[in-house]
Amino acid sequence: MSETDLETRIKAAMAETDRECPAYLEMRKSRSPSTSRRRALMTSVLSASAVAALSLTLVMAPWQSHAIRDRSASHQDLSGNARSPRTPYLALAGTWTLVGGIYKREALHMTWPRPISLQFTAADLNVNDGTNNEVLHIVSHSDNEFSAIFESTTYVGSAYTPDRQAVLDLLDSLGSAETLKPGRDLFTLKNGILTIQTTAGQLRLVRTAH
Amino acid sequence: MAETVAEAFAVYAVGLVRFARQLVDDQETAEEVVQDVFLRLQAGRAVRPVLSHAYLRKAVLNQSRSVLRRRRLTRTKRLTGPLELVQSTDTLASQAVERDRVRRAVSALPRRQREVIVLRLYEDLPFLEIARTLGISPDAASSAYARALASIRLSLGADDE
Repeated sequence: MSETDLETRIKAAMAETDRECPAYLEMRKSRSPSTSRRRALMTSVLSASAVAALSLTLVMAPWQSHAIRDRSASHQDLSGNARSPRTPYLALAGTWTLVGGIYKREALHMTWPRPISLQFTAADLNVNDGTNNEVLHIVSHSDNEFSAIFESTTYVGSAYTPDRQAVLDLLDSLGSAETLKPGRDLFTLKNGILTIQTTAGQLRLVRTAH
Repeated sequence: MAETVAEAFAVYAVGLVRFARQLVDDQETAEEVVQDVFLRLQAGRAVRPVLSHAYLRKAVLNQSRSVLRRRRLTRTKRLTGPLELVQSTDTLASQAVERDRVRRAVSALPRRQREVIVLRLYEDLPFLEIARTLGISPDAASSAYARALASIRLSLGADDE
């Protein structure tokens, strides 16, 4: 098989993959309770703990054996310098710093993205049922862009679309803030229609800008 | 070149999803990759990048790498599974088998080689541009491309036997 033939075969396969893509963008955020992110968080913490435990063991081992050997001696080594009994404590502190740092990084990642700037008033932007700490943030950065970010204690979903009018329509449609509840597929942006699942049914927003 | 993120989204988003699709194997992940890139762009407006196609392509490439890194174990497991045999004389079925074989061969490539293949054969970029996108020398890009083709040929040859 010549190089050209091979390239043609690869291109044909890629083109076929391309044809499988829908004609319009379908933007879904159906991730249920950030499962993958939680899993990533737990994996990171467990890995860090394992590394930390190993490090601690390695750091403490010589100190302990030395202490056993010289139990009756004063806290001095052969050169007469005082041995530092703080070594294991420092290692422990380092361990916690490491684990804490990774946890914090992953936790921040879990709840990203957050609203950066709001051009509407908070009362307009936050839709809160007042009981479950579930908030829909509509974030606008210019006349033509927004992202919709839903947050609750178990779910972070987001969608981006460059259409401010849709946001205004959304706010009008919502009317009352009490209707919003998380659904299994909370955000769907399909063929230009943003759908938000609520207890009162579906709110469907047709993008008018495009 | 787009002036705003919104313009960039309107002009490039669909193409970027298709590009990401070649790198991450499934449509949903590709869409997520592009979504995340645009959300990051919007969040980082204080330092406004030049919203060129090349910049966005590189951002999508980096985000795809990040996703693949996180999903490496699952992906490896899936790709090392047995090749599905479709016993049919139907043309469509045989085309599907052919496509599946080539896809698997491309997916099995090391990350750098796969990126070079996609940039060269899907995006139709010259080696100079590929090198710029990946941050490597043109020679390294060309060499990776040759190695990738050799690997794919080997894979397809093994399947043919």
